[in-house]
Amino acid sequence: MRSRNSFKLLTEAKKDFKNSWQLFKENYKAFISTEFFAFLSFISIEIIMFSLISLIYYLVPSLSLEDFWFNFPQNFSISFIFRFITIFLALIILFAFLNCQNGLAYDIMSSGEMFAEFKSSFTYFRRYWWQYFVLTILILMGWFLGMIIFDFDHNNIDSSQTISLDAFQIGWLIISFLLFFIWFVTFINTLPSITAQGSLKQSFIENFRILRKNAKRLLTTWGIFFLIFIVPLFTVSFITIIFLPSLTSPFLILFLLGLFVSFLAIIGFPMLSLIATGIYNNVEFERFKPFPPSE
Amino acid sequence: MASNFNSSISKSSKIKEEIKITDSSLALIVFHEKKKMILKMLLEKAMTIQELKKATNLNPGTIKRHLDDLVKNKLVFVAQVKYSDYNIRMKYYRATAKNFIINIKI
Repeated sequence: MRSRNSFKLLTEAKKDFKNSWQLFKENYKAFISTEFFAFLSFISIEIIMFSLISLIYYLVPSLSLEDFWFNFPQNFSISFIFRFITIFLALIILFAFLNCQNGLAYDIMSSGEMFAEFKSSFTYFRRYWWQYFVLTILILMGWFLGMIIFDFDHNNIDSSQTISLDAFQIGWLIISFLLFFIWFVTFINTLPSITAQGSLKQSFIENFRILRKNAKRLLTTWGIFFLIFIVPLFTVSFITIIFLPSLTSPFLILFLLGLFVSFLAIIGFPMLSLIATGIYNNVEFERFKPFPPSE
Repeated sequence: MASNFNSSISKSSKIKEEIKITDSSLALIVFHEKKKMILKMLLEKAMTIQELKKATNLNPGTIKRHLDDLVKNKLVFVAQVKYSDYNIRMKYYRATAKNFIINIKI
């Protein structure tokens, strides 16, 4: 009985990946264009902001670089405005646009045309930019909470400049990662939900309804997703942080890091949107808007 | 992708044997190279945009725009909406007649 249930879960996970991969192959241009635009906008905003700050710094000689970045308590307003504008604004654009891929996935699976266009991203950005941003921060909070508690003990840096960790710290790092995975699975369904029915409050309600009824399915599918896209990146990042200071030739490890980041960005993010939308469309739960959507 | 169940069928589900086109603007639409290609595909059977893409090698966005024009001018309609076994919605388009005859008096 247990093996039959496990087989069923794996079959459903395989279906999620197979269908999502097929749809990604047919629509990769729209997804990659959206991501490219998101990263380009992020970099452009950062460049513009830093250029403006440099101009202000040049025009107002009484200001120093420390006023903008370091002196947080002394020049609170300037530092806060600087940080808010340069980082926060750029992150809003980045996260909102990256999550417009949920809109593309919705177009592909629910519009009837089975394709999506890059320009649809702007429609979804206009509709849900702040909701996508808030939900992304919520999902990523799972990682940051674990990392805040976890603290590299800097006394562990030995003479060869390698950071050494004891078994407890390695264990806690793994636990933080697992906690992030649980947190991710807990909230990921809010993204396709908000795209399908438009209300942030209702997306949370639907999210927990999906989670209550389909926890095993979610853990199986997203577990496989994490194994493919996140675990390799996490492992290489961990090795990079620990061993990079002591490496004479860091190029291989940096190459691997770049490779896994690109793999996650180019294939992982679109697959995430497609799988999340596929699960949302296929699981049984009490919906606010009927499925299938009426003509 | 196997279809599990049919959903809605379009209101104008009866396909006419032939339609006479007497409006010159409509004739221009029919004579448009890509629209003609798409219309020809839809004379015999209902197809989705993805099936039309494989048959015509046109971009799905291009096909969609031409289909919207043809639907607007009542040369094509949504014959059926089906759902795959992964609940992916699939619209099937079909020509409103089996034959189109262009008859313009000058």
